[in-house]
Amino acid sequence: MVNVASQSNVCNKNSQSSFLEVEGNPARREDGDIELIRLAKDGDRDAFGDLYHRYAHIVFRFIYAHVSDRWDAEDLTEEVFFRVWRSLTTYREQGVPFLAYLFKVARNALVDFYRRAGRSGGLMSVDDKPFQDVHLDPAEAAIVNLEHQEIRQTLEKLREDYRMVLILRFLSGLSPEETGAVMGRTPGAVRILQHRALSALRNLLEI
Amino acid sequence: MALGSKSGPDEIGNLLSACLELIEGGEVSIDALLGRYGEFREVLRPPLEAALWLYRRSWLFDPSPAFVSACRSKIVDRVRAETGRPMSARIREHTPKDSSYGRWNSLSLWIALLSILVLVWVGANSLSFWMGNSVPGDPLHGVKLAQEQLQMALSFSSEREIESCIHFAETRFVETERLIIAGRESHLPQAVAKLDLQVADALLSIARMGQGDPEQANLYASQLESTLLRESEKLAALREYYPPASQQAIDQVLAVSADALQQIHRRN
Repeated sequence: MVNVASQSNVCNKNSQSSFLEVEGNPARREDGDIELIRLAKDGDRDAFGDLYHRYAHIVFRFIYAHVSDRWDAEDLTEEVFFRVWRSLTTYREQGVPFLAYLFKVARNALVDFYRRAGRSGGLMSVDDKPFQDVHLDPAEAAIVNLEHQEIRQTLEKLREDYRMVLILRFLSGLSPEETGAVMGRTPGAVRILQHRALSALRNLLEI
Repeated sequence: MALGSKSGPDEIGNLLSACLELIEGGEVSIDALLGRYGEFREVLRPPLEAALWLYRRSWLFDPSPAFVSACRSKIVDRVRAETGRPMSARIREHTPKDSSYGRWNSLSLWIALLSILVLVWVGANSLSFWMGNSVPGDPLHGVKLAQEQLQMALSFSSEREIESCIHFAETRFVETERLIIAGRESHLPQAVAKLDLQVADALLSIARMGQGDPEQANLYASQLESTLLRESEKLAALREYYPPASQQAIDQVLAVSADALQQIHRRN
């Protein structure tokens, strides 16, 4: 069981705000994507930059939920967008929403990352690399590191589909519809899965 | 939201989603929500508490603004470097403008020759690279298999033969993974069949060696076992992310692997 009551209140300082500030309306996002993708395919680099800006946060959060090192997450995020750029011309042929495509590339990048790193365990392996963030003083960084590790270790105890739905919904901040597109499930199935995953998570917590 | 007295997972899931939307919007506290849906207090409280626990920590996963900005510049730069500049500009740059044309012309000849040599070298390496990375269904995969067979034929010791067998079994796993990741489901049955055969070959070679040198055979069995375990874990980790056809192939591979592991354990 995880005792969160005794943890620092660092995590409360931003509360829920960061979860909500980036994403916007999913339908509007998909509409805008089509135009940006069209421009990017025509070689408009700034359009691709805008596409990056639109999804950088959610991709980073997804990746950082799977790796323990912030620098690895940053490198992988950059790698994901570069891979997307390279394969953008074939994107439409695949007939999937851009978001689902983006997460597929992200998952593939993670698989390659683990293969390169020689890690053969699950996607949520946790090691003891120190957290480094230039924006935090050492004491605060240590606490943040503990919190980050704790969340990952807690999620690691859940089964794969529970873990995935929680990461997509609550860390990446996707809607049930978007989560469904990424996981290949209907929004209704995502809602049921989310309920079960949260109940399972609650059993692991000491709040 | 009206719910029947016998609420199924569907209805509870929808109710929870509606509650989460209200919490995400910062409109209402958990206690207020539980008060509103008193009938479902005990069902809703645990998942809502867990959701709040995650919400409050989600900021830990945020990228730093400096990274987001710097990464955008890096990506745009990489994209610019990849796409290159317009051809007309490059042609203008390389047009000779002065009397040193003759000297430059001679130099250009050498550069051209060097470029051809580099291209030939790169071409040969690329062919080898693409052949090495080919998967069932690729034009070069047949060549790759022929090369493997030649390698096996040229293995003049049983140790070398078994090492090759284990290596090729691992290669078949990687090919299957690549097909799954690429979504090329139509080639998966072929890949699984090849993997099955390759693992069977490796087991057979080890069994043969066991007749004469049991200790050495045990070492190779352990090597094959660790390969099977490692690759199976990778595939099992991929399973949830891919469509039913891929999942079915993964299940078949896992069954092949489990069967082989059983055989290894039996011989131990």
